[in-house]
Amino acid sequence: MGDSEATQADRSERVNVFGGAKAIEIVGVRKSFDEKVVLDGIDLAVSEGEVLVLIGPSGSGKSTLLRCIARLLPINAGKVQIGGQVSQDGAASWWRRMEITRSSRALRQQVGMVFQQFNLFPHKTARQNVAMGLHLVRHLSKDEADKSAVELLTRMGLGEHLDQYPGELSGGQQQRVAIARALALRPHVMLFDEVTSALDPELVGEVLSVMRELAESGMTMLVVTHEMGFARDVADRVIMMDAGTIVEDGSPTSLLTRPTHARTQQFLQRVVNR
Amino acid sequence: MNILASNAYRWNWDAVFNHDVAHLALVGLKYTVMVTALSFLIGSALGLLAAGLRLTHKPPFTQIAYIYVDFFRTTPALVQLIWVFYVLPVLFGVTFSPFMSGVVALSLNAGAFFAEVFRGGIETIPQGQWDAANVLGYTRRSTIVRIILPQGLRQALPATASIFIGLLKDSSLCSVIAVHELTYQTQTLAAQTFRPLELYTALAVAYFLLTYPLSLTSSWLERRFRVL
Repeated sequence: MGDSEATQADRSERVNVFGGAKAIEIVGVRKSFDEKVVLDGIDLAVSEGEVLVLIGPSGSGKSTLLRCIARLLPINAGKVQIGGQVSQDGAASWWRRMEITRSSRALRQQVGMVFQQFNLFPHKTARQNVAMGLHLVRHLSKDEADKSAVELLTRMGLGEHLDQYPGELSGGQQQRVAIARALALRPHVMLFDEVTSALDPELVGEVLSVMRELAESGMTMLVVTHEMGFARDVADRVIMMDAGTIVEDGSPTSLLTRPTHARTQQFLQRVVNR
Repeated sequence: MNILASNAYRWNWDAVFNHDVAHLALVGLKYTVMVTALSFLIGSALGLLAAGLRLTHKPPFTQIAYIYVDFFRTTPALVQLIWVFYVLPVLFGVTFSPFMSGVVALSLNAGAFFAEVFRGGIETIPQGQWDAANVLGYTRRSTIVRIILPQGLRQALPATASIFIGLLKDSSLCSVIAVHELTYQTQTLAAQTFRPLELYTALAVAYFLLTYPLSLTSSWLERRFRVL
């Protein structure tokens, strides 16, 4: 079973987009909400094409980290770089922050995100959800946008649901539309925030297989998930987070089967022995 | 024993169904509809503005909007109406015709209610919608115009219909400042023909006939947009 043409086409698009720089570079990032410290000094580098899985108990800061990378939350200290360009600078002056925001339009397009709650636009059909971004952000004409949207959705196996509204789709279908919507903007990095946690168990598989194909096509991915099977089979690296810090960082086989840190062992035991 | 035989009132509907009444009724209808429609349009624009100010969460704007909304929601429309007609000219030297005063007062009144309805509609939209649009790279304006408002306004539809019906009824208050709408015409006619029972019954039916299609339209609109 070789790669499909589409996957090969995707992969050629994704080679060396950052010119050698790391896809994501996080240095000394701290984030607090009022008194509560949620991220306590995170240092992380993700290479181009790498698939990183983040595991850990709830409240460990995994989602917050993803949201900071996606620029949904401002950081309090440290730096976030996407492909070598500064995306957030905790120590920057107000003026410098405005500058970064203004110049980061292109950066925002390089990072795509898929959410646990799908967050599809309920008043638009599946096709419109995907095409709108193509038209408004990538400035394709309405016809081109629609054609691309249809193509993307068909590739995800949603060809029969193009004109349905999110309310008429199953959770798995909605999440696949959400992934298509994010991919339509041709991001170089994709963030997945527990995207299968809100799904019925039977629907989880269809979403995970889309993510697996994406990983095989060379996409740089940062995935927060509880699906250990996915981590074992698809991830290049697994990171365990707890209480706002990175506790352990290793390959799937070593971290998942022979964790060195006590906290990791504890967490994995609880997750696996359910 | 002398029973109150005077309960045998002789209804005379000729007082209602004649040409003079028809003519005055038409004039009254014109003014009622104009006052209601204008107040609805101006009020909804005001309401949207006030809701927008509230939603910025920034000091001077939030307070201004809050004071406006609170004041016009908690004082009676009749009082506002009389105030605009009698007091405003004294304070600012601007004289409004009765019709203008009616529209100004009712617009301000409706605007306050609209503000709360729109604000509510928008605030119930999940943060996830903003997040998704943000990450997709939508501009703030695109997000508000294409994602938030369409959903927020749909949520606000039933309450908006209520405000419209309320406005239609409040237009009758303008009779006290001599706007020639339906209630004023009825008062004039009743004084002339001494047939208040028939005339006011007809007036009540007229108002019902005006508001009922509105509630039907509102239900139809809700059903049509029930995707959400």
